[in-house]
Amino acid sequence: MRQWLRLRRPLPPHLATLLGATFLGALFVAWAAATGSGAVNPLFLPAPGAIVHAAIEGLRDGTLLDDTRISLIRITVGWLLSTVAAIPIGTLMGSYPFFNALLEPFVGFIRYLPVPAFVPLSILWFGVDERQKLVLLFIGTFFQEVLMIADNVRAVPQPLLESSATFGFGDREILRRVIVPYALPGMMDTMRITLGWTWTYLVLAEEVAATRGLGHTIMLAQRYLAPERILLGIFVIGLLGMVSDLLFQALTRKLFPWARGVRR
Amino acid sequence: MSKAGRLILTSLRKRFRLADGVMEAVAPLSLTIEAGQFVALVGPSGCGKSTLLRMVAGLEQPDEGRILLDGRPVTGPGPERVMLFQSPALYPWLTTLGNVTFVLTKRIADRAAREALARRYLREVGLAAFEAAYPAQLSGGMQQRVALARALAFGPEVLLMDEPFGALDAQTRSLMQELLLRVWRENRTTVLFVTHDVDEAIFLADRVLVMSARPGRIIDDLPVPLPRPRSLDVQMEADFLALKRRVLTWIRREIGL
Repeated sequence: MRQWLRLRRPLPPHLATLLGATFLGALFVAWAAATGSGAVNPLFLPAPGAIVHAAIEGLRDGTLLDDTRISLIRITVGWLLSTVAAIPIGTLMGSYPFFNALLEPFVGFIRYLPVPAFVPLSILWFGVDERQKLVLLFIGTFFQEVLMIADNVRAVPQPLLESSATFGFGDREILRRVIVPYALPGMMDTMRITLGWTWTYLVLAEEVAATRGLGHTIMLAQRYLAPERILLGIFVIGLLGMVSDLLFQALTRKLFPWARGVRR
Repeated sequence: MSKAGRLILTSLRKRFRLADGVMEAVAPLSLTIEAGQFVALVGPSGCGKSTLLRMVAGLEQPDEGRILLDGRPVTGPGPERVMLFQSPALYPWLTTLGNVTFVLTKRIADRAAREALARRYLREVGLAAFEAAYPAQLSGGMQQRVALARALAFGPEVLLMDEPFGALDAQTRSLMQELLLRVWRENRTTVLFVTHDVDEAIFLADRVLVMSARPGRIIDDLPVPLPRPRSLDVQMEADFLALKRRVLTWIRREIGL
């Protein structure tokens, strides 16, 4: 035991997997025991079986897949809009103090506003259609993402830029052929992390005047006092978020094998 | 190779604005470096030797004075003055070979010719077997050898070196010094080499310039008459030690010992 509790000493991979699974398993057993023994009112915490049942029911009537699909589309589009804007703007902010001075105060201001505060405005501006939901996801994601992209770009070491300049590369060329390729793996990390944040705003975006979606189902289940459907929604969101995270990590390793051990 | 690379620095001066006033980094300084000369610049830390080098590279603008390279004024960075830093400054997404050929695109249009030249210099620095490796897979000394091969293959008129071996261990540093001299003997580019290592300066250079404490002026200009090719053993000879004593005396005086 003591040999596994050394500062930063890596664990054997099997043990690492086992540890994570043990903790999850223990939680599950505790949960099943608490609900199965009747110690906890199922209205507050439904039994695992009730959630499986809700999942089967949701699959049978098609609502679960339908909600998941619509939420996935919203997440993807909202996050893509944010990312497509954040990459060029963040790159400019991280490369040219001019653009940073221009935009940083504005971004810094918006960034500290709670996204729920934008719900009334978003309805006022866009009504209750799909755009209103995407705008909330965008606001929640973009203003963080753009600053992180700018930081990814700033991580490119100064000597690399100066060295390139002495080899005769011009500013624009350095931006395109040195800064961007260097910063790409870091940008992938940023995209992965901010995709997680987009997920966290899903329930908020689907809270208002939505008719479908996982967030909407969760809100609806609250109204109908159906806690097993709330937990089902939470599990599906957590699971999809985890899967997207793992896919992103695998993609980064595959696309940028050189980036292991490079500061980003 | 044609004899290009004559540097003339005239009344060069550089000040930096700090929070509590103005700091004079380089006092008015004039200097001529002949084409093909290997010049080492030593001085106490913070004396402005790196600033001087960066002005020649075009990475800093002088406040006064001017720099001429073969009669043309220096106004910014340019491919005739390549700079080598203490960090190797390699492109991490490119292989060893790719790092060299990437900069050679500025000089040579033909891809096969670029690769042939790059391979020649990688062989020269003993990295032929590592041409497909990425920088992160190489040790610090190997990375700096790639950077050296890249700069030498590029063939600038002037090679500016800012403590390029300063981060390496003593053995690797000696190897790099011998390597640099061997390759330099063939292409005889002008070298301006900043270091705080007096042994390194004398071992490498034709001429050692000693800078004063800030603001930097040149307080001594010593020719190094040691015959070439030099081996590391030269560092134990009387002529070498006499030069070393003279330089160290200057530096000790400048740092107030």
